[in-house]
Amino acid sequence: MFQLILERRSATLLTSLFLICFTLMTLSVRRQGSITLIERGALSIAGPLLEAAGAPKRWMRDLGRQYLLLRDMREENLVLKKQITAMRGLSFQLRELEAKVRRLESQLTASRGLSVPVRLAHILGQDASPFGQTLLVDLGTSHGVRHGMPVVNQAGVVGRISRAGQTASRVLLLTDSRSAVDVIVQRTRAQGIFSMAPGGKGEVRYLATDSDVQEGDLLIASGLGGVFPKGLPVAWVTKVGPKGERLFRQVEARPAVDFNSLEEVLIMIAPEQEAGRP
Amino acid sequence: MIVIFYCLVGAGAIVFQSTVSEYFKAWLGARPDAMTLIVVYLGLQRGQETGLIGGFFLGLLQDVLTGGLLGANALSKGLIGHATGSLRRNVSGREALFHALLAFFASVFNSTLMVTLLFVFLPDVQIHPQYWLEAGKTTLLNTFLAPLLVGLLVGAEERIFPAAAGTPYPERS
Repeated sequence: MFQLILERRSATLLTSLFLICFTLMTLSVRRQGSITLIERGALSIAGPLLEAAGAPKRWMRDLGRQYLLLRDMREENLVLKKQITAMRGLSFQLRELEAKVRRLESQLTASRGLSVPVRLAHILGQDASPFGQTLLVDLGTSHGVRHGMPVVNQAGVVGRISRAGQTASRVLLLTDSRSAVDVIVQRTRAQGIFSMAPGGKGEVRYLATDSDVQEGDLLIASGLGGVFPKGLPVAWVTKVGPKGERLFRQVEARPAVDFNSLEEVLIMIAPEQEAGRP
Repeated sequence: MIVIFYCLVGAGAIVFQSTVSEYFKAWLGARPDAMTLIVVYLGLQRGQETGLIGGFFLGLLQDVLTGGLLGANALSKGLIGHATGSLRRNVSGREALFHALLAFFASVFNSTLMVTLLFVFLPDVQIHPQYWLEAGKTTLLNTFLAPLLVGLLVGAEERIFPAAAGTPYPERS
């Protein structure tokens, strides 16, 4: 029998193949859904093999994902950098706006304390000429601005309108040597005239030699000149000369307004001046 | 040692079938049947008995892994291995065209037998026309890949086992 099988090995194998396969298929159809012993064994063998085989694929997939992630991150990084740049610009703008709001708020506060109506004017430019200290503002006769109107800010007197155009006006600053304001010492009411000396220093002239003035005293407009209303801060006393040496007391003062940081000013629209002063 | 080599080839076929062939499926709409090609290679190199046994086990693994009718691929691949092994007695050739033709007929036989077995054992299952399209594509893929794969494996076997390689071929036996 064995001899026959060995002699006809190929045929035996072929018959066995048919028998086994048809048995398997029959079992597979009958026991659909349940896992057979052969399947379990084959899965046990193939499982780790496939697991190992899948590793490079997973690595490649992970590598691809990492690459995509990095690429996305790079693009995102570029976008974020652009956004940061834009945000920085915006931040600067906001700071600028904040500063402007603060300035305007203080201007508004200052204007509320004034007895006459005021208009806010933005500074368009400054006269760079060494011979004059003037400003150009964006309000003119069409806005009710007239020659000689006082210009102030929250700190005090800035100057007065020296030329009024249709839509812009020139302001003669207090620091111009042609400006002179009748002032009184707030503390003692001593009277004098504040103007700028040719050297660029402010001085109070015609102050009686025995008048009581100290460093740090505030000089306010006396209202006598007819331009600046009484009580507006004009300058701070910085140096006082000795009493009795001269006919008038030597007093140096610096303007109350910081002219280096002017951006907006208030023009006092006085009704009597609006009426037609040239 | 050569048994280990064939085991590794079989394992490689399983790996190929489960991983690389997915890309073929994505590109061409069908995947090659690496098992059929390996069985053809086994039959050609080792004769009908080894082809039959190797084909049976590879087919059985394929059945388990694909979750189809258990034993269908085992029978098909076993028969392909046996038939290929039988051919080598009568056909002397190691040319690419010969491998391609073998792969073509083996693939056609495999597809046809699968459908026949399904009709017999699972008559309720409807064979979608798409199956024939995919089977046709698989046959073409196998036909084109066979010369490359079989040639590669034969070459590798000859290099690794120069004494044992190719002995079943009539012109070298």
